[in-house]
Amino acid sequence: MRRIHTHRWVWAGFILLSAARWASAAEPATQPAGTIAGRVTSEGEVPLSEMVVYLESPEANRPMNVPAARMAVSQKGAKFSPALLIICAGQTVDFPNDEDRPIEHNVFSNAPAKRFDLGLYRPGESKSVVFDKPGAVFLYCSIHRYMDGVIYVAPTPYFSKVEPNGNYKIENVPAGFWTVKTWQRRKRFPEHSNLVQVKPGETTKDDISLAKK
Amino acid sequence: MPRLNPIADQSCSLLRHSGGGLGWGPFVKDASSTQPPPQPSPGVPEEGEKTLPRLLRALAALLVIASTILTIGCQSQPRPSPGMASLRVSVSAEPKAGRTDLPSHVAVYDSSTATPRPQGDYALVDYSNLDDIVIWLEPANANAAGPKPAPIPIAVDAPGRAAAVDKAVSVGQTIIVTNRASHPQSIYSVSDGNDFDLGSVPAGGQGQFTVKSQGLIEVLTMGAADPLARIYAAPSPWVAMARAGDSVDFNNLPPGSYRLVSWHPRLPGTEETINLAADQMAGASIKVGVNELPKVSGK
Repeated sequence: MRRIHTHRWVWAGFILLSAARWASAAEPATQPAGTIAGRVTSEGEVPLSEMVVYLESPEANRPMNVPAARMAVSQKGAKFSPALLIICAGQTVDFPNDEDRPIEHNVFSNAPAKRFDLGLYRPGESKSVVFDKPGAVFLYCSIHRYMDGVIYVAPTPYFSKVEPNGNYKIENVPAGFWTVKTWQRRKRFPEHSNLVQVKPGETTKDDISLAKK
Repeated sequence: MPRLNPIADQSCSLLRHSGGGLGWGPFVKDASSTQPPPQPSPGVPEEGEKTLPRLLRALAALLVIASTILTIGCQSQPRPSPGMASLRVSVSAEPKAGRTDLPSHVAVYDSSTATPRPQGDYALVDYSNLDDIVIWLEPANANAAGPKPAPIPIAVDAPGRAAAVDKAVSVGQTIIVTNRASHPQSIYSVSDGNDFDLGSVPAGGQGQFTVKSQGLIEVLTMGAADPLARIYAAPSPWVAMARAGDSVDFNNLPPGSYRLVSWHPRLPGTEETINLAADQMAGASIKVGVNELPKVSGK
């Protein structure tokens, strides 16, 4: 009888601990959230569709949910698709060889944020990589000279690819202070960095003007 | 066998033995490099053959042979100045180990030409002629500074014509930029650690900047998405650009321990430590390719 009671306590403790861990992990999502949006302009030509706006937390160790969804970069027609993928640090990306001809590819990167070599593999096969450090990871195929792409690994799940007209929008951002930053695939101006406050249910505007100085 | 000769006031020299790109840094291409080397005298004058004794003729022939060997030997194995060292670096690139597809497939895939791709999207990387490899030597002793690199000129034209790497230069080197376009250009860079702004440079005009840190420098102009030039800055005055199949000679180096480093815009470079002894020509080889990258086999 005593032994059964002990088991009950162990189970109750386990459930409480699990609930606490779940609550902690889910904390950012349950917080009141807002939106950051704006428009990117520049004093010269900037390939806006190859630009990323992302948020960095000014607080160290702020809890962050890494999206569980796996992303994919396909290889078909000797091209990476999408040519620019944005993910959150910690996410996994699949690299399927989707060629409809018997063509091997060899995806690799020598980027400081992730150095890897997926080896050779044929159509129908796929390999995956976990990107654990923020930064730009330029992708190449060691066989085909024109194959190139990039994965931008953002430090948080809050990011947006800039639209060709310059607009961007980042939704479901937990209330509080955030640093809005840019990354240009082809860097033509110094990157933008601006501290903003996100208020629950509101849209914080941060227009970005890129200039030489 | 084109040669690159040192500028007269430099204390080191660089030679390239196989065809291909140019070497840069404190070196310029010798205008006479395409001329055949001077041939040794074919022999003793005909009149002398009648009068000289046989022994003397044999001695003369031996002298000719010896001078020929010396001439050829000096060209292929440059000797360092007394008390100095030299290094010959063989450069190669290797494809991914275990490749099974064959280039014979390529012609089939040449139909897609969305952007100018003369050989089609499926054009293969030519490892036997891989270009844009930058090589440099860094003294292991940080206080052992090399020769101060001389200013180096670059001429920029319209945007979009930059190669993957146009030049290799040294940190501390001054770059003199000439605007070769027919209109003024606002020339600048925002490359990490090497940002500069030359302002509006008139057609035919010049501006200059000094390289501050190691890395790729994109020379930009306002109003264009593509760069005017790409320059790689190495942290050493002993720097050269090479192509797979080249041999690059670094001559008249202070003896000691060096890091031999190579860099490529896409592929992983190499790094090794070498020791150079006085009055000796050392050899080293570098191999650029993906085979040393960490393997990931995630499913």
